[in-house]
Parts: sequence; structure tokens; C-alpha cells
Amino acid sequence: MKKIIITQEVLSFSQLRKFLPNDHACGAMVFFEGIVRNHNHGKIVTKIDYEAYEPMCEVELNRIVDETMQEFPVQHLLIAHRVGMLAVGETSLWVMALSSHRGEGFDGMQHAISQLKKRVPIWKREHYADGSIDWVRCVHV
Amino acid sequence: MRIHIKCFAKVREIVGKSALAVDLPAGGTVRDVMPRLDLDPSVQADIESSVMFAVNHHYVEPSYLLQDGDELAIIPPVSGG
Repeated sequence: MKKIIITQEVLSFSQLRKFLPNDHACGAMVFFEGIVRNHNHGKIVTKIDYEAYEPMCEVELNRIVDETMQEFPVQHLLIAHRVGMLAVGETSLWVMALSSHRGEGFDGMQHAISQLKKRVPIWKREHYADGSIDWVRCVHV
Repeated sequence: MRIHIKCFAKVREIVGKSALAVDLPAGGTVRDVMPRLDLDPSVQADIESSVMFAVNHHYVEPSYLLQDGDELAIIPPVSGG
């Protein structure tokens, strides 16, 4: 099972968990929560505006999920990304992976997140405490 | 042929529009679109050196051969997550 969500709504773990089955062949669920941080490159961040090219995000996220599930023994994978204006402390990203064992779940999830950060057309525009605003240029690792 | 262009984030701010259309002769490539944006040559060069391109939601190289009605997205460095 795979699930892609791009939304302006608040992302809730309990709501998203319902999209994943209770698969008794899976002994591990690993998840990653991305949260808006209050600092970047020495500046105090107050909020981030996420812009997305949504039709292509869906295409590219589906590709990433398909690739991940082919390359890693992950049985179920969900990626949910929030867009719009987010305050510090709010959740921008959830990735959830169900697999037989924890190792393949961690590996698959790490792969999916790395690819998301390289390929999915989403942009962050950070707002700083000093009143300035700037587009974020990520270092992909 | 008519190409529909989408601009995002920093590129949208530089171009001043989120969407526009340009006419190209048949056989035109992605690379041929950039001079049609009427940018300062140094700005155009900066953009070309940093962006990726997508046609109809698929990443392509600058040498990609465009077809009438294609949607070309100019994609500055992404920063999701």
C-alpha cells in the first residue's frame, strides 16, 4: 500500500496512521516527522511559507515511493507534505514506513526522504525575526 | 507552436509572472525558451546555471525537443521537507 498527501491542512500522526493497514507481516513501523525549526544559518526563523508545484509533486512523490518499495523491502509507505504558511514548531512532513524488520524500514525511509529533498518541486521561503525574507537553498544529503 | 511556461519561487519573482506563453518555431527545445523571457543576459545565465526543467511534470534536459501545447516548468533549487 502507498499513499501520497499534499495539503494545506495540519498533519496529524493519528489521522495519517489510519491510511496504513494493520499488516501482521510487518514487525516495524518507522516514521519521520519534519518540524519547522526556529533557526537557519544563524538567523532566527519565525515561520516558513511552503510553495509547491502540486501536479508535479504528486508525480514525483509517486515515483519516489515506487522506487523505494522496489529497492527496499518496505511493504507500506506514506509520505505527507504540508504546504502554505507554517509557524515554528508545526509539522511540515510525515514519512511512515511499514516493513518486516526495522533495518529495511529505516533504510527505505531515509532513501525516500533524501530523494524528496532532491527532486520534489517544493520551495521554502523563510521569514526571519529581523523582518527579512529569503528562499532556502538546501544542501542535499 | 505555443509553449506554456510555469515559474516558481525565486524564478517567478525574477520573471515577474507565475505563468506565461511563448511561441517557438517547430523543432524548438527547452533551451530556446529562455531568451524569450526577455531577461538581462546575466540574470538569464544565472537562472540557466541553477534551475532544472520539467515538461508535462517530467524532468528533462535543456536539449529536450518541445511539442505544441507543452507545459514547461522552470524549477529553481528545491527545498522541501
